[in-house]
Amino acid sequence: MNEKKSLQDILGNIAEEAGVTKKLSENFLRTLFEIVEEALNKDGIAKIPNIGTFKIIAIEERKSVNVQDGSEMIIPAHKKVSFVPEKNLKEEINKPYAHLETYVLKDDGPVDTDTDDDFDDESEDETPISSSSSTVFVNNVSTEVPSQDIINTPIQEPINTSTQEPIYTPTQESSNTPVQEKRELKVEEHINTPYQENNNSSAIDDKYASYIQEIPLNTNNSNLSSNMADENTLQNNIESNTNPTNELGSNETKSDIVENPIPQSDPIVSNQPEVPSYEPVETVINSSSVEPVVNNPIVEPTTETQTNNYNQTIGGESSNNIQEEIPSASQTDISSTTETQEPNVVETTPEAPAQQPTSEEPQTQSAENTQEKKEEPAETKAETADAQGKENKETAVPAPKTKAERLKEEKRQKKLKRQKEREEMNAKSRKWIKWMFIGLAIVLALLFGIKYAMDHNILDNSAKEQKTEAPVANTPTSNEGEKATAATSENSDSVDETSSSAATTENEDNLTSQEENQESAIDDNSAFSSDADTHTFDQRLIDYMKKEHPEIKFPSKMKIREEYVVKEGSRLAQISRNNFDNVMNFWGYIYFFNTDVLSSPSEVRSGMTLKIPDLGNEFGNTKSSKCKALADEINDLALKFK
Amino acid sequence: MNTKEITSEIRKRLQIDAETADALFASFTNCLKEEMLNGNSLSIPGFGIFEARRKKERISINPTTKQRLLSPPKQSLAFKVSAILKDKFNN
Repeated sequence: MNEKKSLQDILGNIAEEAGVTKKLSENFLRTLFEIVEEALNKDGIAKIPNIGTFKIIAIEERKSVNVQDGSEMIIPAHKKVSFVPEKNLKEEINKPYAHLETYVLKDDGPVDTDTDDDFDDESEDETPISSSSSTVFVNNVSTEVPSQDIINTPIQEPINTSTQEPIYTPTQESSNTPVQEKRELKVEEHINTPYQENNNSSAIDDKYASYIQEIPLNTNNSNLSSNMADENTLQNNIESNTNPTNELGSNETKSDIVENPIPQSDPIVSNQPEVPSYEPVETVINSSSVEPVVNNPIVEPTTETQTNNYNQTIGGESSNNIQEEIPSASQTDISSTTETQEPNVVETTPEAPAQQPTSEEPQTQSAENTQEKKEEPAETKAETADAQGKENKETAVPAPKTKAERLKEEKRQKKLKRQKEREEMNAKSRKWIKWMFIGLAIVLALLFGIKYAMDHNILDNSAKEQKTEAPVANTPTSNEGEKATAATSENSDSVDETSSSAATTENEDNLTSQEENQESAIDDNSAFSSDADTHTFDQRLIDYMKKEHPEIKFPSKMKIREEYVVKEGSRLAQISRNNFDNVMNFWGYIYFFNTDVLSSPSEVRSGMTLKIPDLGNEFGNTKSSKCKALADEINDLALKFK
Repeated sequence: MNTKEITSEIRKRLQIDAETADALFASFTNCLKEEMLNGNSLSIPGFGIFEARRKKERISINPTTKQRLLSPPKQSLAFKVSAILKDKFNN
């Protein structure tokens, strides 16, 4: 090992092998290298058969710095002899390592692979269609877009926002990798988009304000601000009329976000109020008699047709058509998403614990929502009162003409009547919302129940297969899923403290289940370790250490530090890195500690349970170069037993 | 100078037939290989030293896919030219 041999030492072997005299072989080698030297001098290149190519490489002069005194110096141009071994010889010499292959590291090491995921997130946000998982949903969205075009023809930007959002959310749901960051991003987008489009439409502000914050008081404020912004004072009436529908939208969006991960329908629903707010302004100015007509049909309490009628009278025929389209679109959305969700769930079993609570969610929330509704009418009454109070102020200041018209057209008695009518309408609409909510909640509860059932079956099966691996693998992912659900519920239900508390209780349930899993995993490990706290090294290593390093007292037995389940694609060096502070050198110890399982160092397969020796400070000091050198020596020894 | 030229030149100088030359080449290659595999270095006076260099395994990152790859350890044949020969070329 590691001897320096000269030509003389190998002459005998060469002569023997070639069947010639020693003298001839010596002559042969001397002349061979003489010729090579001459050839290099003459041609600059010499090829020795089966050994390799010698080449002369001219190197230009270059600047350098004297390491000792830091002064600059010039390395003069010179010639260098390079040698490239022949392929066969190279492979022969690498034979001890030939069985080793390059493989992709999957564990998190010093370099973050997570950056990829982050990058994907960004790309999803910016170019949502690019992600493959969103393609299913893109179709749905594209079918909706034309209908929105009809609605929003005067305003182009809202279409963009409304088309983008539905894509984000389904991708997140469909990819089934719900991370909190994504949710936060989503919320940020919701918040950002309206403010970017402030100039275009204050009505959209209303929509988004109600959509994001969902606090009735805020919607009040935003309505008022929008009223301030709009010079048409008469629009106030319509605005206040549209308020309920705004809140309809917001309520629906809440339910969608919370119980059902399909906010696709949200923007559409919330977009609707825009149309009445803009278009009817003219009609109102022309004839005040329209307004009672507006209100009357709303009082007629046929749940779904109510909004249709309402928008028919206000928005005209176009909006009516659109509205007919939209419910169908939203329904298809729901069905499509549920279809797509279920297979996803089948694929990813770990998500199941996260979804267990969600099945309970809708039920609890339906109750909460009803409470909410009860609260809201009172608030909306206050709203309308406030709005009208502001109305009067506004009519006094910015638009005297309209004020004059209005004074003529509408007397205060009529106003009072209208207020009452509005209140009635609000109350009726609330009832309608209630029924909508309850219906939605039931449907969603059923859906989640189905999901849950499916997950449970799969979990049971997979749990049997995976055994010890399953709990370890499940816990982190289920954490994520849980966070995501919590994030959705919290994002959408900032108002609903009760629901968020429900979500947290669900989280706790999850956590406890996880803890149980972990405990079971730990129990398994402890069961192993109690069987055998120590394990013997391979006899070959002990012999080797006695022979080569008698000065080191190498223990034949060593404490087992850990039971390590080999992950897919892992090799001994990788396992060493995982267990010894990112140092790869100690894999030889692991090999000789597990020779009862491993016949060769390259035999490591995923799912194997390897015992990691507790090398202690004497052998396992990851910072000591001595320890590393010894470990390398043991690695060399290990490579011989392939 | 390619392999043919070198073999013909060596045969001419040593006045040996092709068979012996081939046998000598083969046995030299074999010996070199054996020594390298045993971890020895072979020095040729006035020419240089052949040695097997061990390269540790390392983590490389594919710049396009950002995949982290664990390259296995390997052993390669290295040649270090002797100072005498180097001086001959540089003067």
